[in-house]
Amino acid sequence: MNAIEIKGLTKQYKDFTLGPFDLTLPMGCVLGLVGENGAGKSTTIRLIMDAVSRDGGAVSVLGTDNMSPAFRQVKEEIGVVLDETCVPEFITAKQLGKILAGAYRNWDGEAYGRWLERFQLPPNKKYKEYSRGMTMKLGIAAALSHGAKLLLLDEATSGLDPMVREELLEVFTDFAAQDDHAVLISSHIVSDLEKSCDYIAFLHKGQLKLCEEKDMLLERYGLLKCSPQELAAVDPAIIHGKRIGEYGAEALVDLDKAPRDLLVERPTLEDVILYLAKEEVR
Amino acid sequence: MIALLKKDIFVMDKQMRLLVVLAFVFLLLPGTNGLGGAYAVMISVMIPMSTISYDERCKWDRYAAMLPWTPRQIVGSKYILHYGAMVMSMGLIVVGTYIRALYSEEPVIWGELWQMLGLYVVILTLLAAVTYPLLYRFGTERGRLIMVAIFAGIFILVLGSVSLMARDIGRALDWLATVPVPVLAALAGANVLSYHLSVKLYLRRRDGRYA
Repeated sequence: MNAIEIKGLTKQYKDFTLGPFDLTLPMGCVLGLVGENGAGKSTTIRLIMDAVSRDGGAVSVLGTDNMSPAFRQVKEEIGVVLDETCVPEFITAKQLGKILAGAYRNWDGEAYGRWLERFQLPPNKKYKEYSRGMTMKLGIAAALSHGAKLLLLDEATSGLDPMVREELLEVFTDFAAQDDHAVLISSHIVSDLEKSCDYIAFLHKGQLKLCEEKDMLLERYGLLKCSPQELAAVDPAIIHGKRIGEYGAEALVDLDKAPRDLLVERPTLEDVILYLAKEEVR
Repeated sequence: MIALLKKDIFVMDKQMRLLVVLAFVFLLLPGTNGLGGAYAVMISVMIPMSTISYDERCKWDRYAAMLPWTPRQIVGSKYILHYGAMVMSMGLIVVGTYIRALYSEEPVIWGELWQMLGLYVVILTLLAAVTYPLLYRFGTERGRLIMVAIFAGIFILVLGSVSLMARDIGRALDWLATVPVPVLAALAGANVLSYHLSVKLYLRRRDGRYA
């Protein structure tokens, strides 16, 4: 069973159109949803949860159509962490636990307490007194305390220092290590996704530019480094993005078709995403 | 839905205590006849409206929509909070009036008090029916302006009822007392319609159809 199956999903706003696109997240995997601010990552997550109604397409989550009445039950098995702090500022972690205990039938107060302890979150401190890192940790503690099988994380690591990011990425990787678990994490910090994801989906201006296995993606492309003159001689069909400077040129090319006599390096995921996005601009 | 109410109570905890204390001050102080009642009625409107404002400010609705709550529960909890606050303010008025009677040695005219509370119930349930669809349609920013207009309306209505009582021991209240069933039925119907409209408007707002 796939954790998420999206087919032909579209959402139309006054000045922005998302999709149509297809996307699949298999169980036991981590999918990174990359894209610039305003690319449609948060909207995609909201559409997956039916927190905003779609204009077209189909979305199945943990095997259930997200517009069917049965989806309410499925929501019990989905942990969500949003990019912005959505908890009222006067609420304490302890009070949030009491509220969520009434929202989720499978709420595990002991597990929540353990997460608060692990993340060193004072239970009686008001939310407004928490740092950005603490608020994200609180969101994650809540998402992991009701037996979720699927985690949806919307920019859960943005604005955090590298040590906290590392700690949280470890938590997500551990969670996804179980076969019946899956994680969808949206971020514009590509290096975070490179560390923890099995699949990468790239959203650009509301359109899904790619969705495939991270390793395949990194094996498919090469980063060609040469002079502008040498680059001009390369078949334009294999170039997916380029940067020409005063002293040299760089291009993202199909690795298997790259000229053998020129220097081709392994790109990082960030290189691939940046060049693919640039090509769109060009 | 209880969890949603719990959230609102946690959010409003401190403010609620302060509002209750102030209500008692107005109810018990000599020379503030009528003001305490009006204030108690006002707080029963302020509490649920403030929670909607807090929700909007911290984007709670975005989070709530991700949890296993239905839009009906999310909107319905505000109506229930409104009715709960209304019952609480009625209780404050009764207790305040009783305590005041103890030390002022003026007996409580229970018949008049119940009539006045009846009028407050009519006003407050009518307010619920009118206000919540407006708040879900226009949001709390513009809703605040509506709130001011509504509060002004409350004062005019309450002060009007007090002067009516002074002139003619509440002919209007007598009329209300003679037709309680149709009045209550009309109010209940208006609140049911209002609730369904609010759910629709809430969904449209959630979909980003209102700026």
